[in-house]
Amino acid sequence: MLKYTIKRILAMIPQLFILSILVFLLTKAMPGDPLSQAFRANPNLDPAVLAELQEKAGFNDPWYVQYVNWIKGLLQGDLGISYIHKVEITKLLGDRFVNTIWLGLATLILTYLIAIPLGLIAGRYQNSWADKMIVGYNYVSYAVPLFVFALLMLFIFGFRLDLFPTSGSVNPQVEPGTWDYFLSRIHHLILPALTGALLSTVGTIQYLRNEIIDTKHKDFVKTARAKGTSEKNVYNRHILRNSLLPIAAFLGSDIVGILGGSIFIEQIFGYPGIGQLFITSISQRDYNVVIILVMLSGFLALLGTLLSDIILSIIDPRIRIEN
Amino acid sequence: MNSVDVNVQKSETEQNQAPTGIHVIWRELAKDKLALFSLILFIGVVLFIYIYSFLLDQSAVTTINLRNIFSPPNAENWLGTDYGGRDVFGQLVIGARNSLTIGIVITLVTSFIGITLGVIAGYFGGWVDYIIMRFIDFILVLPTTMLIIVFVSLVPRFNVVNFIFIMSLFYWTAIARLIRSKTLAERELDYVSASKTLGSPNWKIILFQVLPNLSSIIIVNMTLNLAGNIGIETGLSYLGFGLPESVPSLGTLISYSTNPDVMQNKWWVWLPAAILILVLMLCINFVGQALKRAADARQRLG
Amino acid sequence: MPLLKVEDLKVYYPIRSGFFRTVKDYVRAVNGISFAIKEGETYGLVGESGCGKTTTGRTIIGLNKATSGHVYLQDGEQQVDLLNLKRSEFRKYRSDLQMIFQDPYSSLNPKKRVKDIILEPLRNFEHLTPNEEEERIVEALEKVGLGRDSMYKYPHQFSGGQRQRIGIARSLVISPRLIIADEPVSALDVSVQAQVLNFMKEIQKEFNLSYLFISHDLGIIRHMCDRIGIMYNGRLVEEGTTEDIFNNPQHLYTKRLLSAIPNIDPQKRLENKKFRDRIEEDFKKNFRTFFDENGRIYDLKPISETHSVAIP
Repeated sequence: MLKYTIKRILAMIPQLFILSILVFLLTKAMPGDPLSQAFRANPNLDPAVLAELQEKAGFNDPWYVQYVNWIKGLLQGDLGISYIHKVEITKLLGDRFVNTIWLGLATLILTYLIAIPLGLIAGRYQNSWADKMIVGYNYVSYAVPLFVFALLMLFIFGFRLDLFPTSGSVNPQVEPGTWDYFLSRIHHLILPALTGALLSTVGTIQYLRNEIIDTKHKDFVKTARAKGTSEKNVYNRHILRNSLLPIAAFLGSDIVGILGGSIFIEQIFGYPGIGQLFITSISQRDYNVVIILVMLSGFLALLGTLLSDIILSIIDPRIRIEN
Repeated sequence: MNSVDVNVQKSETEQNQAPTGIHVIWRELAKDKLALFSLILFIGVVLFIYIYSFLLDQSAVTTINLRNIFSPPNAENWLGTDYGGRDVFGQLVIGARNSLTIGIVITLVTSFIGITLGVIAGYFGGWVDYIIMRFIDFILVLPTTMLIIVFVSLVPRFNVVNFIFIMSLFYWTAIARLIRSKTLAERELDYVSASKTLGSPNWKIILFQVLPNLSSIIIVNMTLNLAGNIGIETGLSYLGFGLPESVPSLGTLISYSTNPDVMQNKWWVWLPAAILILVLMLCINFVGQALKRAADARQRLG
Repeated sequence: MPLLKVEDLKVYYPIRSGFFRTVKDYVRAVNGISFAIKEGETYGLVGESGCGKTTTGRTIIGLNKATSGHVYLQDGEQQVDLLNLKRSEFRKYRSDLQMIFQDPYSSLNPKKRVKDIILEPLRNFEHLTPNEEEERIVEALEKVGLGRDSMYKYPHQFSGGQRQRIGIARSLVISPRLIIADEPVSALDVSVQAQVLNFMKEIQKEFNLSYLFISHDLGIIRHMCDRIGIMYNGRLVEEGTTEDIFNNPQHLYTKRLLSAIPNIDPQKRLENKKFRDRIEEDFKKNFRTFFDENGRIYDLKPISETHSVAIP
C-alpha cells in the first residue's frame, strides 16, 4: 500500500516538471513583458529606467536561467511578484485560494448530497417514473454547457427572483468574524455551488444506478433473498455495502472537474477565487500570476487523480498488484 | 411479380444486412420518439441557419446604428438590437453558423487524430502503445481550459485556424483512449489473425478489417463530441478567449450579459443565444444517446 | 524431404516486474520441440490445454514470434527457414501455409460479406478481373458445399459448421500446401464435427494437402492423423504413428492421457476405474524415471523406425 503510494507520488514528479517547463515557456512567449505593459500605462517613466528594471528582473537572461531561478524560488515558497498589483503573489493568492477551496468543497458536498440518493433510487426502482425522471435529468445535465447553465441560474435566481446575491463572496458591509458574516458567505456560496453540483452529478448517478442494477442480479444477493432476508436488509447490508464504496474513487476526478469549471463559475458569479484571478491576470498579461495559477491547477489535478488511484487501490487490491 | 414474391424479396434483403448496420441505428432512432424529434429539430435548425445566413446581408447586420441601440424585439428587429444598434437575430444566425461549423471541424480533426493514434496504439501494442499512452496520460491531467486560454492569448495573429489547432491539440485524447481499448479487444479476435495469415498487410487490416467493426462507436462518439466541442468553443468565446472578433460566435452574444444591466433588463441580447445553445446541445445529445444504445446490442430498445 | 521441418523451436514470454519493468523470468510456452510433416500427411499435436500446442501452430505460421529455432519449408530441391526470412521474402511462402481457426464465430469478420471474405486472400496474391474473381469465389464456395447465393450474405446468417467451411474456402483459394488446423471442430456441435472432419479429409485427397492438426480430443486425433506428437509442458514427450501411440504407448504421460479417454461401455465401468487408478499410481511411482531431477522432460529417443519417446 505504502509502496504503491510512494510509487505514484514519484511518478507525479516528471509530470509536474514537464508542466512547469511548458507553462514557463508559454508565458515567456507572450507578447510584451509585464514591465513594459506597466510602463505604457505610465508614459512619464524614463525608458532607461525600464531597461534597468528589466535587467534587474532577469528578463534578459536566457530562458533556462530564468526557469531555474523561478523553480528555486518556488521550492522555497517564493512565488514571485505580480507586476500589475505590485504585491507578492502569495498575498494575492491567499484569500482567493481559500475562497476557491470553500466553493469547491461546497460543490463537492452538494454533488454527493444530490447524486447518492438519486443514484440509489434510480437503481432500486429501475424503470419506475422516478428512475425515468432521474435518467432524464442525467441526460440533460450531461448535455448542458456549464457556462450557459450558470448564466441561466444567475439570471433566474439572482436577477429575476432576487433570491441570491449576483456577485462577490461576502457582503462587504458585514463585520468579519460575526455570525452574520458567516451567513453572508454561505448565502454567496449557495448559488454557484449548486450550479456546479447540478452538472457534476452525472458520473456518480450513472455509476450507482448501473452498479445497483448489476448487483441486484448477482448470486450472493439472490442467495440472501432466498434465505429470507427482508428486502430492506438486502439493500442496506448486501447491495449498498458493495456499491457505495467505489464512489470514493470518483472523488479525484470530481475534484479535477470542479476545478476546471471554477473558471466559468467564478467569472459568471463574480466570485473572487483563483479562476477569476486567472482571467483578470491573463487579460492584464500579469504572467507571473498566470504561470503560478496554471501550475497550481495542474498540481491540484494531479493530486486529485492520485487520491482517486490510492482510494481505488485500497478498494480493489488487484490494481496494486498489477502495478 | 405477385405479392408472395415481394415478401420473399423483402425478407431476403432484410437478412442480407451486416449486424449493427445503418438500419439498426435507424430502427433504434425510430423507436425513441425523443431522439427522432431531436434529430428532426436539429436538422431543421441547422438547415435554417445555413440557408438564412447564406441569404443574409452580413455587412448590414454588423453595421453600427447608434440611433437604434438596445431596442427591444419588434417587427423589424425580431430579437431587438444590441449596444451598437445591430440586429440580434442576424447576429444569432451568423454566430450559430460559425459555432456549428467550427464545432464540426474540431470534431473531425480531433476524431482523425484520436482514431489514428488510438488504433495504432491498440493494434501494434508494445512500446508504440506505451509512448502514446504516456503522452495521453500527461495531456489528461493538464488544466486544459487554462492552457487553451494561455495559448489563445499568446498567438500573435490569432485567427480561426489557430483556434481550431489549439483546441484540437487538447481534445483528441478521450477518443484515442476509447479507440485504443476497443482495438485491443478487436485485435485478439481470430479474424485479425486470419487476415494476417491471408497475407494482408497491417495497414490494410487496420483500415478494412478493424475500423469497420469500430464504426458504430466512432459515429456515437463523434456525435457526442460535436456537442461537447460546441459547448467548449462557445464557453471560451464567452470568456473572450474563443473565436476572434471578426468571427462572432454564439458565445460572443452571450458575453454581452457580463454587463449586469444587459443581463437584467436587455435579456433579448443574450438569452436567445443561450437557449439556442441549450436546444442544439440537447438535440445532439439525445440523438447521440440513441445511437449509443443502437451500437450496444444489450441496451437496444428492441 | 519433408514438407515442413520444425527444429528446436522455442517460444518464451518474458515476465516483467518491478519499477523498471525488468525481465525477471520467462514463461516457456514452447521449450524446444522438433518434428516433421510429410507431404499429404496429417500430423497431430495433442496435449492438455496450456501445453503449448496452439502456440506452436501460431508460431509456425508467423502469428507469434519464435524465441529461437527453425521452421524449414520445402521449396523445390531446397529448404527455406521461414523464421529467418525478411518480410518481403516471407511473402512468397505466405500462401503455402494457411490456418483453420478454432472459433468459427470470431474468425470471420462480422462486417464483411462472404464474397469479401473470400476475396481478401485473392486480392493479396493474384490480380484478377472482376469476372475471374467471381468465378473463383463461386468455385471455392461450391467446393465447400455452399451455393452461389451465399456470396452476398453475412457470416451471422450461417451455422457454425457452415462458417467453418467458409473459413476453409477462404484458405483454399490460394492453394496452400500445409493447413494448420487449431482445434477446428471443438467449437462445433458433435453432430457437425464429423461432417467437417470428413470434409477436411476429402479436400486433403483432392489437393494433396498436409495438415498440422492440433487438438486435445484423442478420438478425433485417432480418426484424422497419420502420425502424432504428444505435448506436455511445452515439449514433446512421445512421437509416433497412430498405431504406435494408441497400441504401444511408452511414456508415462501418454499412458495417462490415453487412460482418460472415456469408455462408454457400462459393463466395464469398474474395470476402467481400476485401470485409471493403476495408471495414476504408476505415474506417481515412476515419475522419477521419466522426468529429470528438476521435473523436466528429456529429449526424444527413437525406440523404433517410427516411434520415439522422451526417456533418459
